[in-house]
Parts: sequence; structure tokens; C-alpha cells
Amino acid sequence: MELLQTSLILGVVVGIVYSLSGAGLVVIFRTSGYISFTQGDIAAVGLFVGLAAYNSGAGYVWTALLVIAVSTLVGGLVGALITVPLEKHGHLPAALSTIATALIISGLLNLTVGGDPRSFPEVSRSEALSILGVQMSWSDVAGVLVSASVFIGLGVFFSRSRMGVAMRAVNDNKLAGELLGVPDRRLKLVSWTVAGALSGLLGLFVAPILSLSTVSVNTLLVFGFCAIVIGGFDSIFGALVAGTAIGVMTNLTSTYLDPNLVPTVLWASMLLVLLVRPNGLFGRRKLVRV
Amino acid sequence: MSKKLVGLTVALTTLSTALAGCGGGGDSASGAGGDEIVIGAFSPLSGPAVSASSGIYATKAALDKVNDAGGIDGHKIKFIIKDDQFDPAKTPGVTRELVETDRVSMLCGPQGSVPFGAVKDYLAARKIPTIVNAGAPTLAGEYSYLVSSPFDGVGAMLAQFAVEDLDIDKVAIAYSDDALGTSARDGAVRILEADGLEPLGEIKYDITATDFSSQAIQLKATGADFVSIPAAQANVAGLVINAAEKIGYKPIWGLSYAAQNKTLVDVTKGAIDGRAYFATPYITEESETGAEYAATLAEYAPDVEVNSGATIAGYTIGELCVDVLTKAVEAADGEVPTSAQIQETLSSYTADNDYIQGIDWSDEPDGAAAAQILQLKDGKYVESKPFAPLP
Amino acid sequence: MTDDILTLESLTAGYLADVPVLEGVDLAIAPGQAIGIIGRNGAGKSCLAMTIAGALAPQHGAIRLAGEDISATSARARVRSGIALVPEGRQVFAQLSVRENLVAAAYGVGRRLTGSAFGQVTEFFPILKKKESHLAASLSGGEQQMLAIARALVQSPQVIVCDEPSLGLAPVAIDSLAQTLATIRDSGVAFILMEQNRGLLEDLCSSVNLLDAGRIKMTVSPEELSRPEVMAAYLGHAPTADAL
Ligand SMILES: Nc1ncnc2c1ncn2[C@@H]1O[C@H](COP(=O)(O)OP(=O)(O)OP(=O)(O)O)[C@@H](O)[C@H]1O
Ligand SMILES: [Mg+2]
Repeated sequence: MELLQTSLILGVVVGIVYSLSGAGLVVIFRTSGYISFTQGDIAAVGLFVGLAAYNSGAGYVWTALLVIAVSTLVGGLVGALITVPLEKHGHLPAALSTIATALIISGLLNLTVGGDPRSFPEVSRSEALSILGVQMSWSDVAGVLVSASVFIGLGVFFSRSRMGVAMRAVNDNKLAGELLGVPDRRLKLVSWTVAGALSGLLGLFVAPILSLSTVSVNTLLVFGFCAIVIGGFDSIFGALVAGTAIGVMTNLTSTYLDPNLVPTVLWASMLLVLLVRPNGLFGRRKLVRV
Repeated sequence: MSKKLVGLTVALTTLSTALAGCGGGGDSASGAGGDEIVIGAFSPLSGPAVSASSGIYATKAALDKVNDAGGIDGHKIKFIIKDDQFDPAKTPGVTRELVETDRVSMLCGPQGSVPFGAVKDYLAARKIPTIVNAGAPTLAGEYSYLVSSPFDGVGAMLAQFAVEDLDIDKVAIAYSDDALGTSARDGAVRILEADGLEPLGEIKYDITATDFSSQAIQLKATGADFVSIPAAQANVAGLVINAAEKIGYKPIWGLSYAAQNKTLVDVTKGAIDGRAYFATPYITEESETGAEYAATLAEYAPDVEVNSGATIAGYTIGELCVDVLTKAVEAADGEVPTSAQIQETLSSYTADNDYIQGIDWSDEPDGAAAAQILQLKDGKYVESKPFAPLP
Repeated sequence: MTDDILTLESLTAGYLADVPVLEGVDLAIAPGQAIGIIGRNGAGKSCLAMTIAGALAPQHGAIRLAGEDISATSARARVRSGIALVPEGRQVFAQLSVRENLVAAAYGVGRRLTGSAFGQVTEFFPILKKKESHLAASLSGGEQQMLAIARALVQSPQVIVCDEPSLGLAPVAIDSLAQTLATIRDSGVAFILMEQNRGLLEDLCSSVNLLDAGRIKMTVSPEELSRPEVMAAYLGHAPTADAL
């Protein structure tokens, strides 16, 4: 019984981080209509810069702010200089450019900082509270709170704010956006910048757990990708629920079935959702008129 | 629309995985002169596994030292290292270059169980002998000689150490479901059963996983005082340990040379200092011979991590290659030995020296049959139990 | 005329850089005035609408808004300076709600959609208020057309270019659309109406220009549209071309 409780609670904690990794993908998807494969590497740049600062004496708060600032900047630059300009040739070249950029950044990181995993500072390892006998550190609590606020914030942003609505409009009908004077290029740059910041934020919660290497954030983005496919590309709430469900499901699979089955269960459930509900569990079915 | 995009995205993911494999290969060569003995190795000199290359630099240091002292009976050793990025898809290509273009007479310390597995048969068909820097017992063969102790023995030694030296009978095992992990688990179970005990848990993990909280929960539930993860590399061991300690489970950890390096200390933030033991067939920097090793490394490979298990293994293999080549040159009457002559030497070679004990390739091409136990203490690896035959 | 809000001076433009569709088009329109453009399929009506809206760049000639040459400015700048387009085929944001369509339009001119702006446009189109939170894709064709016009209205334009607003609308719907547009026109907004529907042109426009193969063939009053020689020109059976 204790095994089950603990599996469930820790599954939720890690699942919320999975959702957070889906959030950055959703922000770019909702404005541009494709997935960015660069987010993990953008985060890695921020994290390595942050770690350098930390090692030369910066406190945790400054380190965290620096990580987010650098990821924001790198995200904005990748969008402004590479991906968004390529959109004029279509979604495919733009999406491909995110892969190319990811490989280039990770290649450069391998050259400069190397592939060794390093430890990364965290909020605090000391115990904050205990739920049903499961101890949670301040880092866990911070991870859950920050993720929850990011989700609420993004949900409100896309449904209530003028800019969020305009971002969706640009993705919905590019020509109409242009004719109505909606600044689509600028909105896309904003989405890349925001997604960069979210990647950095995600990195702050991933790196202490997985240790920091050039691939650590990328490894986690796989779960974020599954979360938004299962939850529905246009549903922020869906990503949150699906990410948490994935966390619990993988944890239970690992505990009660076989740890090597985790990827199988993960991808199989994604395919199943695609077959049954192609727009995800919470995605709105697109209305089409001819 | 979204269906199409999902399809596209899945295709792109696949493509990116495939593309991630692309990349240049670099080679480095050393040595010059007339009657050279040409040998080679592959190693990840670039790419994500680049940190494993410390072993090959240490092998090279051992060879460079001999070259600077005049070589082997006047023959300099030319050591050609090719980059395979630890990618078994690239290993065959670079190995073929070594054999067919560079015409190496043996491989000395190529790295990694999986990459070597990809070329073992090719090398045997070409009759090129290899001293392998890897631990999987399946890699041993007519032309491939292992140095590192088999994980069955390592697992057994850790279990014996827990029960007999630490006086702990609550032992649990964590293992990966592959040749290394299961042989380490079987070794441990064998020893426990001989003592009339059984492991409180045998917990399986997946080395590619990102979340080890399930393993942590299960290990904690066993209530064991000693958890053995003999075959784990430092990064995976670190993730398992971190996940366990995070939920307040702090047992004594049994590890091996595979995890013995700075990465583990870094990743666990030193939390396991004093509570981690490592079974290894290799010496430490702190030992008497270790001083010489450290001095050589400081001169020829100042950038690599002296205390890492992989570095020490690489260096030991370099020393073994020199010893083997010396004997082969003798057998060739002072001439550069052929592959066949080196193979002849290897197949009757035994070693019980300051660097390694219990190598007897005249019997089986297996790794060292003796090991010691080190304890991580104040960031250093210190002897806890001296060299003894593996149980 | 100095009080014209929008003037086109020998405007040449097209979709491709070296293939003009419009050639030497001259037009002038005063505030509160509506003029019609009639022409067969492919005559260049949409090309004219897009050029005025700034989505196509003129190859020759000038577009002046209140006397100022705006030929070189972007679509976004034109929207902001007061030219709104109701594009052909409605082009609503299908997966956004009715209200969100209006929010995005207001964002295009750097404004927020105030309650009073929303109230004003939904007074013209009450159905949009009722379906405020419905997805645009779920509206009927006529309702979508209303939404497209409402989007232009929330941008508080001086000139509205309407490209075939009656397309696909029932006769009753066209009548009520005509009334609404007339009200908007009378509030001082200038209209350029690309249309095939004579009823709408007659109800709204002070003059109608006949566009044929990119040139303005004649300018007539709406009543004259039914005269045989005008019909002939419109249908392409002009006496000279009708030698057979
Ligand atoms: N995107 C385009 N690229 C190149 N040429 C085009 C394009 N769209 C239309 N054309 C051509 O330009 C000419 C004018 O087309 P336009 O769409 O402006 O006519 P229209 O009067 O609006 O017709 P309709 O009544 O069918 O809407 C036609 O000959 C058409 O073939
Ligand atoms: Mg048209």
C-alpha cells in the first residue's frame, strides 16, 4: 500500500514537470503551428551559463535568473534569425531548421563544455512537507507551484489577453492576420522568446534531478511531446492533465510491470490516443466549413 | 491539419534521431620513425560520450612514456586513435580503416562493450588481436582479451564484503536487464545464498530512463542496509542514488570501477561520502604504484581525471600492451612483431604485477580474477579491503 | 477634389511583378460616399481590393489617403492609417470565437476591444452578440460575412474596401446587409464595394465603375446599370467585340 501511495505521489510530482516541458512546445505551436526541437538545447545553453556563474560564487536566485535570461535571449535569437524567417518557405523547412539548430547547439556545447554530466544547484533539498508519508523537498514544492502558475498563466494568456488571442489568430489564418494588420512576425518572435524562458525554467527543475549534460533537458522533452499529443495541441489544460497522467503511468509501469516497458507504454498510449482522438483527449475537434 | 502535423512531427523526431548520429570523425596519431610497431584503438573523442575518452588518453600516456624512453628494443610504438563517438554504427567504419588502411597489428584498449561488440567478429576474421577496455564477459574470444574483472565476480565480491566485512545481512540489489547487470546480480545472489541469505529485493532499472523514483520507492520498501548496483555507470548510479536519498533512504551503496569517478561525486553532491564502496581490479592514485601512475599521467595527459576508474583501466591496459609487445618483439628476434606473433604472445600471457593481478589468458581470455574494495572518503578513493581473489 | 479621402491615380498593379492586372485605374472617393466596382470574374476586382489594402504593391501610379501618398506602405500601416478590408471569401479566424475575432482585429490597429466598440458593432449585427462565444467556423456563411464586416468596423476605419460581401447570401440577407452598410456609410465612412449584385450596388452606391480586363471601362450611376449598353459592356458583349 505504501508502495502504491508513494508511486502515485512521486508520479504526480514528476508528471507536472513533464507537463511544464510540454508548455514551451505549445507556446510555439499555437503561434507558428509546428513543434520546436530546439527547446532542450536552448535550455542547456542557459543552464551551462548559469552553472558557470554559480561556480564562481553567484547565489541560487541570481543563477536561476541568469539561466532564464540566457534561455530567453537564445530562444528569441533562434526564432528571429533562423526559424521564423524560414517560415516563408513553409512549415516543413521551419520545423527542420529547429532540428538543425538543435544539433548545432549541442555540437557546440559538446565541443566547449563536453559531455560530462554535472550536478546543478536546486532550490533546497530540505524537507518542506510530507504527504501520506512521502517527504517532499522545497524543490518539489517549488516545481509543482511554478508549473501550476505557468499553466494558469498560459491558459489565461491565450484565452484572455489580446496578444494571446492575436497569436492564435495568426496561426489560424495567416492571410487574414496580415490583411487585418496583426503583426505576425513580431508575435512569433514573442512566442519564441517566451518559449525560451519556459525552457530555461524547465531546465531549473530538470537539471538538479537528471544532472546537467548537453542532453538532459532534451531527454525530458520527449515526455512533454507525448503530453501535448495526448492532451491536445491546443489545450494547455490538456497538457497539464496528460503530463501528470504520464508521470503516474510510467511510475506504476516501472514499479509493477517492468522498467523496460516504460517507453513502450508511453508511445503506445500516445498512438492509441491519436487513433481514437486525433486532436488529443482535451483538444477541440477542428470545425471545418467548405 | 493537426493529424498531418503530428505525423510530420513524428517523422521529424525519427529524422532528428537519425541525424544526431551524423558527425565528423577525427583521428590523432603519434609516433614517427622507421621500424614502428603500429597499433590502434577507437574511442569517443567527440560526441555526448566524450567523457569516456579519459581511458584512451591514459592508454596513450603509458605508450608515450615508453616511446620517450626509446621504445621497445628500439621500436617506437605508433598509436592511432580513431573517433567512433561511442556509436556502434560508426565503430565498424573506423575499425576497418585501422585494419585495412593503417595496417595496425593489434588494438590496444578500444573502448566500450557495445562498440566493441560490433567489430569483435570482424577483428577475429582478420586475426587482429585486441586487449579490450570493456567489461561484458561475452566480449572475450580467441582474439579478444579482457582486463576488467567480470561483473559476476564484482557482484559477488560486493555481496561478500557486505555480509562478512560490514556485517550486514539486509542486502538488496539493483540491476539493469542486460548481460552486465544480470551477471552482476547473479554473482551477488550466489554469494548470499551460500551464506544462507537471500537478497531483500532485486530491483530492475532501465539505463535509458529519466525517472528513477519507482526504483527508489521499491529499494526503500526492502529496508535493506546495503544496496549493491555493481554494473552501473556513474550517471545512472547517480540518478538511482539521488532518487533514493531524496525520499530519505540512505543505505550503504555497493558500486564498481564503472561508477568510480568525479561524475558520481558531482551528481550526488558528495552525499554518499563514506557510504559508498567500489569493487575494482585496478590500483588507486593513493597506493605506492599509484604515485608512478599519477606522475606519468601528470606528464603525458595532464587534463584527464586521475582518480576515475576508466582512466586507471586505460592506463593499466597501456602498461599491459607494452608488456605484451615487449614479449612479442623478443619472440620475433628483435624485429617488429606481426599480428600472428602478438596473438601467440597473448594466448599464453599471464600477469600478476603492481598494476593488475589474476590475469591468465593462457587459460581463458577473461579479465582480472582479483580485486580490491575502495571506500569513497573525503572525496578520495581509499583502500578498504586489499586485493583478494574474486569469490 | 480636395476633400476626397481616397484617390487612386493611374494605378497599375498585379499579383506578379511583371504581369499587371490593373492598368491605369483612376478613382476618387469622399467620406460618407460609397462607390461600386462591377466586373466579370477575373476582371481584377480582388486585385484592386488587395492593392488598396496594401497586400499587393502598385507597379505604377499612386494611392493617396487624405492627400498623402501611401503607395509604398505595408498592409499593416494601411490598416492603422484607416483603410480596412473585408476580404473575398470572408477569411474569418475559424478556430477563434466571434469575440476573439474582433479582439484580434482591434489588436491589428493596436487597440483593445472596448465594451462600447463591441456594443456598437453588435448593434449593427445583433446575431454576433448572441453568438459571441461560438467558434467562427460554426457560423453560417452570412453570419461569417457579418463577422468579417464587424472585424473591419472595430478597426474604426475611414475607408472600408468590401470584396463581394453578398457572395452566397440569400436575397433577404442582402437587403438587411444593404441597410446596415448604408447606416455605416452615413456615419461618414467611405465604401468601395466590389460586387456582382446589382441590388446592393443600387441601394448603396452613388456611382458604379465597370471594370473590364483591369481597366475602368465606364462610370455610371446605379440606375444606369440596367441599360442595355451597360449590360453589354459588363457581359463582355460590347458591340465592337460582338462582330460575329
Ligand atoms: N494569386 C494570383 N497570382 C497570379 N495571378 C492571379 C492570382 N489571383 C488572380 N490572378 C489573376 O489575376 C486576374 C484578376 O483576378 P482577380 O481575382 O483580381 O479577379 P476578380 O475580378 O476578383 O474575379 P472574381 O469575380 O472571380 O473574384 C485574373 O486573370 C486571375 O487569373
Ligand atoms: Mg475576386
